[in-house]
Amino acid sequence: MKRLAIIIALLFSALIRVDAQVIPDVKLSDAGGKTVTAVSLADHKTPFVVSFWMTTCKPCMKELEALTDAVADWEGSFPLRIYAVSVDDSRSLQRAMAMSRNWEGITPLFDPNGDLRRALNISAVPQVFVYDKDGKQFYTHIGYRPGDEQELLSQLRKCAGK
Amino acid sequence: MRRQMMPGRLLPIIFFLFLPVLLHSQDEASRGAVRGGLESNSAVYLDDAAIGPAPARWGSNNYLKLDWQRDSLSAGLQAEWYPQALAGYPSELKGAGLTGLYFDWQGRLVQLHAGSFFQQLGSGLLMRSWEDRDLGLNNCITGALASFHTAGRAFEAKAFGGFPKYGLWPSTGSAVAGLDLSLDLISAFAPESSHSLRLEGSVTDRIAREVEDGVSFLAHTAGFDLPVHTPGWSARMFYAWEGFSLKAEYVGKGRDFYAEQLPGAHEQYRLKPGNALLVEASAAVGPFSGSITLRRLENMASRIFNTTASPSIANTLNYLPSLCMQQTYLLAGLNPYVTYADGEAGLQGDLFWNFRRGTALGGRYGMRLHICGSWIEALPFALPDRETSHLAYRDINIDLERRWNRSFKTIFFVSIQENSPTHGNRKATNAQNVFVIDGLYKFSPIASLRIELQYLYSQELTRDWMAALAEFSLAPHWSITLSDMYNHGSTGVHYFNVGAAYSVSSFNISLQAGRNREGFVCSGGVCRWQPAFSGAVLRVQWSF
Repeated sequence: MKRLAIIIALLFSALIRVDAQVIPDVKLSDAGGKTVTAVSLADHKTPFVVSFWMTTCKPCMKELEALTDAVADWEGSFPLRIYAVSVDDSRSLQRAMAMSRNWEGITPLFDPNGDLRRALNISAVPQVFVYDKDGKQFYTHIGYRPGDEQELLSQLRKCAGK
Repeated sequence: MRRQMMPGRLLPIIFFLFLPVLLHSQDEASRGAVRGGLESNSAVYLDDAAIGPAPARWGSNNYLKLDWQRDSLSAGLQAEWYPQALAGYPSELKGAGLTGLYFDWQGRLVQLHAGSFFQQLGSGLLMRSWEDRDLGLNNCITGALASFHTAGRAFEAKAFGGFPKYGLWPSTGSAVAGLDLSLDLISAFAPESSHSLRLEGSVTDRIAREVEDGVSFLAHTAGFDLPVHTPGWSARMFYAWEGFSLKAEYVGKGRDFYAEQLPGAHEQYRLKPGNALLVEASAAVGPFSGSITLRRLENMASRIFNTTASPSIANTLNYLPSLCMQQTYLLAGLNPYVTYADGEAGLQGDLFWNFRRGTALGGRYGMRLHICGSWIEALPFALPDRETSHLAYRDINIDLERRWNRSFKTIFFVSIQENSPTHGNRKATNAQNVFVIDGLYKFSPIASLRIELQYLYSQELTRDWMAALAEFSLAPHWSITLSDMYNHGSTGVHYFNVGAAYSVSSFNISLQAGRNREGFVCSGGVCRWQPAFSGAVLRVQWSF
């Protein structure tokens, strides 16, 4: 037990100087079943939003609806890129695919065995991230409350320097 | 007692393996990226005359995860600490342990991995190792994994082997090995095509290195020897084209130890092979999208080791979620269906209708309709009476969501459920109809109030229930929730709850206090039993 505590304390000490996190190089799949790597979402031109959701998470659905509205109302000077990563396991994958087929302005991606979720240490959904054009994490927020999307868009504009 | 890798022997090894990583991290220019996650869930339980004595005085489940990555190298660990596990969690979770430790190298086409890893073959019917903290389940494998893929990923292969985790440490009494192949035919021969066709196959083996004395005795009494190897295989196909996708999977499982139920609550011990078939399709046409799933299971329970002890959710090697919709409203999820792995066949479908903004029915803000239904029958040979099977479960769920203006939105939800308490062995079923109105009103861009009113009508079990929930939110940090479930049809017990949550960035803290009913807690279609309790639960989550 003592040795376990020492190891954990040493590992924590390594965290004191942590750089801005880059989106991990993890495989996802798109709606057509093709492999997409998370790092490829960074197009080196504009920032982007990654929202983690699952079909049985009511706050996640509310956040995605708010983001859909935000896309419709978006009047920014750069394109709004939103990726919704489903962490539904294989049981709910088809439902997640069917549910996301009619989304407007949001690109669905799928992480059925939670590889990206684990790589980002996400313990609860929804969690949303803003990454800059090179894939460096700029902002994150856990949970959703109606109105959170205003803060998210404000952070996205800051990230784009607009 | 099962033999497990001992922490005392492992910890020094782990420390010295991690030392280069720690020393390297002091070099600012090339220390790599460190990520982590911390989660703590603690509860205090109180005696409550309405539901009986507290299941324990207190409980606490704690997790720390750290990952380091530099270029193609990565390493990480997960530590868990259960001074006393929360009520309802597997009893194997006791004390502290390093439940995950890995080193990984990922080249352009090859990946080599040593230590713990999660792995899922196909939909997980054949094998799945995963973590679900709501269930207390983490059956990660400690061993080695190697994978290879061609440029463009038209062909992928992986092989792995190791010891699945049971409790806090890898169980050395049982090992698993597997090989998985995937061929993307369209990428290989017509990469520009809009079609996608993938063929996949897997083989696995579970190797029993130790057998419980009780299981050996029962097997000898029944006249057979337990096999050391339990092989399994699966063949899979995935096709997608624009808005359509089709997935089919067949799984075969070698002979395994089963306690077969007989009439009169007697058991007969046998070696039985298993199989499973899964077909899923989804499509989208205009404003409609939908999916349908067909699944048949026969003797598909796959355990890390065979035991005569009570079944534990921690002792699992594959993923058999219930086929029906996973409910999110309090009363709709009161009596969930749990998969009958010995033998069931079912069908489940979803239909989504998105009434777009600006259309006659969609109005200015759009409207969404979701209809979901399932029908599950037990297979007769898997039932104690061996009669023609009856209905095991069926439901139909309808939810209609409409935003009326910038401030007000409603959801109307109806769920009609019929559940057999004998998994279809007898004709009698319990029926319940659930009605929900869910409304959200925004006072300002950041302040909102959500109200849920629910009613459950039933003439069986505990008869009628009603529930109400109010949630006030102040974005982006605060929310306060009040709820009550009231069983006015039978027991007259109220289940009051009050909770508050605060979150900033990736930090979240919540406190909930009140009375909670006993029943199944389900996550991802897998359920564990939760005893009734009154008390307070504090949850802290932080990722960095």
